[in-house]
Amino acid sequence: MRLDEITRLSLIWGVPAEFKGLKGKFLLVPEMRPYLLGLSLCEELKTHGCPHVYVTDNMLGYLFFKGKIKETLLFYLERRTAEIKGISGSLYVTLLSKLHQVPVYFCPGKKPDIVNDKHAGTLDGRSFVEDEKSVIWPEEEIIKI
Amino acid sequence: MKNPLAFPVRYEEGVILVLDETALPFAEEYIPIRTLDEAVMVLKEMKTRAFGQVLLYFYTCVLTQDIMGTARVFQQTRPTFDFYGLAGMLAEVTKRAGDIKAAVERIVSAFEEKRRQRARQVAEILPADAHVLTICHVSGEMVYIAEAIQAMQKRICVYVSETRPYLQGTRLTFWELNRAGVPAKLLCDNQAAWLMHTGRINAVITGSDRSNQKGDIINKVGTYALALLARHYHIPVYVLIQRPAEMDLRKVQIEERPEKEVFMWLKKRNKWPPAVYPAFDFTPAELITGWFDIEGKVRKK
Repeated sequence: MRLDEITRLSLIWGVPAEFKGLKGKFLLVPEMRPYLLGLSLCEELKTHGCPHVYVTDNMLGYLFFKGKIKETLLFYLERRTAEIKGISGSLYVTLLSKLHQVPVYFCPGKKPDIVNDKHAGTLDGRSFVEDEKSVIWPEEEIIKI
Repeated sequence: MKNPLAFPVRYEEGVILVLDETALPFAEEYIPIRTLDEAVMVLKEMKTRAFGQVLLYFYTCVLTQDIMGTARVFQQTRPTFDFYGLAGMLAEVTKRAGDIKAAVERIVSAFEEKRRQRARQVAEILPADAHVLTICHVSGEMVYIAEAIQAMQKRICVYVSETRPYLQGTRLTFWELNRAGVPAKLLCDNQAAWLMHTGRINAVITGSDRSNQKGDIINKVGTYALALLARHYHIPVYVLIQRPAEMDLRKVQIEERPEKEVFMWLKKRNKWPPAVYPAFDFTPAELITGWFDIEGKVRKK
């Protein structure tokens, strides 16, 4: 797929608790490292008949810059009165959205199933580092809303 | 221990030896190149990139004895990088040196001292306890910067963004810093905002594939997001540039790689989802705090 072929994307971050509200949207699904949640999410979206396109997380800035994203749907783990708690990268996505004047909608999500990767030191189960002490472990991120 | 990534391409008795960066960190292998076609193939497959492709271009000109023709073919293969700019430089030095081989030797032998000088200039402006976030791989210069900063009795820890999908951060930068004994931490690309938010980063340093007089750069995809987030958190962003050109970088074609490469390094699956892969992004000058060019010129806000 080429960038010219995509526009008015709805960016997903986190794992949706349900798929009903996603029908009719063209979804942008990032990889969501370290867990690679994007891959399994794409499979589920396919079964629900939702059109989607996959990118790595670091490509999001460029897609915002090019005006490809019209809204962000952030699926949180927990919500309190004035803040939400989301998976790693929730702040990255929220800030990039706000800095490009793209609306962020906070939606209930669910805790991801962590299969192989717990941090940046591994990818799809394969280790790239000798010592995992020098890896920054992902944290759940708190965002004021 | 010598860092092979500082000079990833060499020329020995009529053969170009290209360090296969796609094999790192698991193997250190060199690919012999004897023709233009072979050079284009390793370029296309990203066996070498950044400074490696600069060296590959120069040494390929020694093989072909054709500065502009080689630039044309290289430019078609990697459209975002400025091979015509290198051709101009090589043509100029060739006039003084007498032939292409002598000119290439002159240019390449000057690179190490120039890059070390630049590293000292960068180290000068970093704080006494530097926590530097970087992305992709600046061809050995992050090690030079760490050595320079340590020589100034300052401390550094380099936070390396893994740089998906090619993993240059993990496989090249993090690997070479570890080998050199430089304190380093590895993170997923999406963790950058949280690290800035929690006060763990006080500078961002990146390379650039292209730059212009205005101060805009084109670099590995993900650079723009880091620069934008850094400005939000009032963190300075410093870039290493080559020779800034007089042109509008917004008009440069951003290379889109084949979508199957988005899934590089992942285990095989029956079917991959549809994907896009812009390999670079554009960062406007407004987001950058300081520019360090290869000729020793420094510009700071």
